[in-house]
Amino acid sequence: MEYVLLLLAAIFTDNFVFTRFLGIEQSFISSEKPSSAVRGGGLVTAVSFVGGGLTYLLYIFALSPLKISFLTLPIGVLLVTAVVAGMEAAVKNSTFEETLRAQIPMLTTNAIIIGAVFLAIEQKLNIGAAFLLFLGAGIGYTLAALVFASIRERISHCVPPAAFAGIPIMITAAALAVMAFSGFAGLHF
Amino acid sequence: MLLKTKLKSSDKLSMLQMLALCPALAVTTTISRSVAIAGALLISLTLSAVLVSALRKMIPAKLRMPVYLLISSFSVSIVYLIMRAIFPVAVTALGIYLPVLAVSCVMVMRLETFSALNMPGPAAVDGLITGVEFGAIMLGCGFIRELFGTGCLLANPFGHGGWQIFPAAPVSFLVHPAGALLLIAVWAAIFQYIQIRGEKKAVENPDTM
Repeated sequence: MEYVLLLLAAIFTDNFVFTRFLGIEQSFISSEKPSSAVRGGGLVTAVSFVGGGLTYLLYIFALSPLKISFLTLPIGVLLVTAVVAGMEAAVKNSTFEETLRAQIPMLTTNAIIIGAVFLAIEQKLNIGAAFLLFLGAGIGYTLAALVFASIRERISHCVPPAAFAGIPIMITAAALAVMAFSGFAGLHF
Repeated sequence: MLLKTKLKSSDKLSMLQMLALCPALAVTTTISRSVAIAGALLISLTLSAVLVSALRKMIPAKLRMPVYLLISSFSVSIVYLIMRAIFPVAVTALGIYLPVLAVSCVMVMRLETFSALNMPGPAAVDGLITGVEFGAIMLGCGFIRELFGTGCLLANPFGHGGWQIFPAAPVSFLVHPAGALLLIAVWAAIFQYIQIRGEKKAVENPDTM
């Protein structure tokens, strides 16, 4: 039960995009249509789960006992890049390749993955909980990208003041979405 | 001289770059935190810019993203270790946002668009200028959020102490993440307004340009 609540908390109350602003730029840029937002979110979830999980396992079993935990950041970045490259090789010559290739810069520079690893280290989570946190971070990102994509679709039908046109009105709308999500903060599981 | 030409030719802060700032904005609730994160960004950006431009001929084009990320994560690690030795309080207060700087868009964008094409000298200057630009935005954000969000000024990174300017928090909403986003939206709108006005002027009297 505790684990289910941890997952729900990572998706709603402590959503990485809305409460911590991690990966917010990627969820803005990649969310042109709701469908592409979901696809990108699925990829981020996969990379976060595998790459983040590998980094955390390495931290628990190798870096922390050997007292070289200062290397966590470079090793985590490398592992995430390696996982993305592996995924790219796996889907080669399939219909999925095009989608993945467009998302690669969003994946390797996504702050959610590294942020989730360091959050797990900071809170000293056990391995199962950490994996759930990485999964929840990815699903929360997908949710946020979906919200932003829907907002974007609505905004494209409006005519905002010239000074607000483009990015500023998007950020304003995002601020309102963040405010709506802060309503979840009252939930204590 | 170099600085002057650089300042003139430097592309203005684009709107997308404002977005790239967002993760760092989450911690700018007080001036002291803003100074800490801006300093960390400035030093690590300059360091990795110099490293990338020094190694630019050795980095294969296909592997450039992983190499840039590796270099930036190493320079952020160096800054992290130095800061932990000198200001342990600041490192605790920044938490996960310090390591996250390594994969921030600001960093990768500058490395890819400027440092990888230029000599180490100009790259260092570019890193410094970009760091100062972003630092100024972060400081402005920290100032407004601390003054109007808590009513105090210059509290320590955990939000204690400081001068009481207002008897109570006038706009406590600004401390929340949504407040920061709204602030940045208004900021971006002001930038855009100035830009639009400049363009209009240029159209009305083209001789003065």
